[in-house]
Amino acid sequence: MQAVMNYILNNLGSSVFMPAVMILIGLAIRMRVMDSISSGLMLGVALIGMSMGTAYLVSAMGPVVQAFSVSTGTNLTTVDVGWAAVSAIVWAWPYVLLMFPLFIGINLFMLGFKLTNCLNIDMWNVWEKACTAFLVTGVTGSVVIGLAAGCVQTVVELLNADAQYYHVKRLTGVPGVSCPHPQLIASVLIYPVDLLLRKIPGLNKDINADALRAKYGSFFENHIIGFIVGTIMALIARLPVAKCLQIGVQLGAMLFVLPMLAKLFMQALAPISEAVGEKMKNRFPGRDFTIGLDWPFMGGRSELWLAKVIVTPLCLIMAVMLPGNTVLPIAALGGVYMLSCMVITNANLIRMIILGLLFQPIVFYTASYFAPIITAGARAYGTLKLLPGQTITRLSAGGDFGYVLGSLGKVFQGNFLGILLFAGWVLLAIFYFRGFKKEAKKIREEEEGAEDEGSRAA
Amino acid sequence: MKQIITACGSGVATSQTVASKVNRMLAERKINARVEAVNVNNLKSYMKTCVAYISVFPGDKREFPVPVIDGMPFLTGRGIEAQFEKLLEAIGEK
Repeated sequence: MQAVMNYILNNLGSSVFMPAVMILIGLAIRMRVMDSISSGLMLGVALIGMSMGTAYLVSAMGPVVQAFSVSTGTNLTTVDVGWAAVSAIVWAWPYVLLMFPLFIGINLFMLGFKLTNCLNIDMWNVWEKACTAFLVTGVTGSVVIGLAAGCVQTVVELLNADAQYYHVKRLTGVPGVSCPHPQLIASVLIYPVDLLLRKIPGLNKDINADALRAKYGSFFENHIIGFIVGTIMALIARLPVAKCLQIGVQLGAMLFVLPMLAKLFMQALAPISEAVGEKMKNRFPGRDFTIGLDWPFMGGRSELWLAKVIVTPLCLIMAVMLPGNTVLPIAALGGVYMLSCMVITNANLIRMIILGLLFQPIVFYTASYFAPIITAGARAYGTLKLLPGQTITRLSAGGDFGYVLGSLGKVFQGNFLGILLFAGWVLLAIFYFRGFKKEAKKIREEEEGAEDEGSRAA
Repeated sequence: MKQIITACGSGVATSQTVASKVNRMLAERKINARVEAVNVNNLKSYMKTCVAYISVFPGDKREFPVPVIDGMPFLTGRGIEAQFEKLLEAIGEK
């Protein structure tokens, strides 16, 4: 099997192979022939486009990052290329498309047996589970274990979406939707710490986030942020001023353009994901499930954006000072776990900022940990051209749960630390799910109480 | 060609889903408008050229110079036809 894969990849390359698979899938689910071919080729377009973009990013930023670490005496040589670039590597991974049937199968199975109430139509984020599968495969050397890790993540996401449903509904006011996004799995770790924070008086002040957000505008636009970060970084690296300004514009361009290129993946997927979403919904007529969506529907809360803006400069400082960290966070900037923090604290801005900062080191360490695998993937699947000795990563790579899964996977190689880590995680998870269930019950009772009053008043 | 904007955190996935869906519906009715998905941070730049904004951020209290349509029905499928009619009204295509 491996030999066949290698032959295909070496002779065809992922930019031909992946579109071919995509076309076959389109035909298999009975899309029109022209639509299938279009989707398949669009995937090829996306892969080539991303390859162009990330090659530029790495060749422009690589030397700057090196100079930066030399002049600051730190070891921040790993370039954070952002989720868009890493998604290109994952999309070129030969086994990525296997995650789709696994994901859909698990969701349908769990819905059928009432193990979950969430119909996850977020096809886009299947790439996140494939990313975990890719990373764990890299850590353990086994594709089977990697895909199994992706499956475990799928299950946990669905259970978590259910557990957080009432909390999320309280935040957004929208009934019937839940969020199975992988970044929320960090809630397992963050919840107990928030319980401690809640005991500290004075942290529960109510802050009018909407007014603050209106005053300071939304987070600076990508190209402006990129310009500022790039120029400052180059200045610290003691490059000539003219060069610094160039780097600023280049990074601004990259932060703006790379997500646009990643959009092409979505465009390639769109017809298939829509068809699959419809089929899944029609499987369970009459059943009242929640629709699992990607996180933006929670983005109406100003607290999320404010917290990210405040945390970002602090994270940059942290990156420089954290011992053992090798990642320079130029693409993802601040507050990777901010979403979990918002759900757990019910958008309490102060606690969100504290928790976001407390857990940021985990982000840096796991990103450093998975960097070699991501770099190897970039070289193997040819989507990026890297300088020799260059490493890359992504800030939300794997994260805490990815690391736990990776360690668990290594059990099969005789490394038993993974079992302890996983067992510890499971204990925390049980504590978290129980705690959230109690809170959810209270939220539900409060809602129903308010509704009763409303109808009595009417 | 009337331009409608939708945005999400990255301008890639959620907003693209809405854009694809609505564009398909617009094409079916042969309406001369197109939805584009952008990054929420770049919204200001597009406000000058668009005729409506489909928001996937329920509860977003910001003011916009164009009509704002709730995009959730396009994502969940619930109430999607009614929401589409609202959109058409807002851009003057009813």
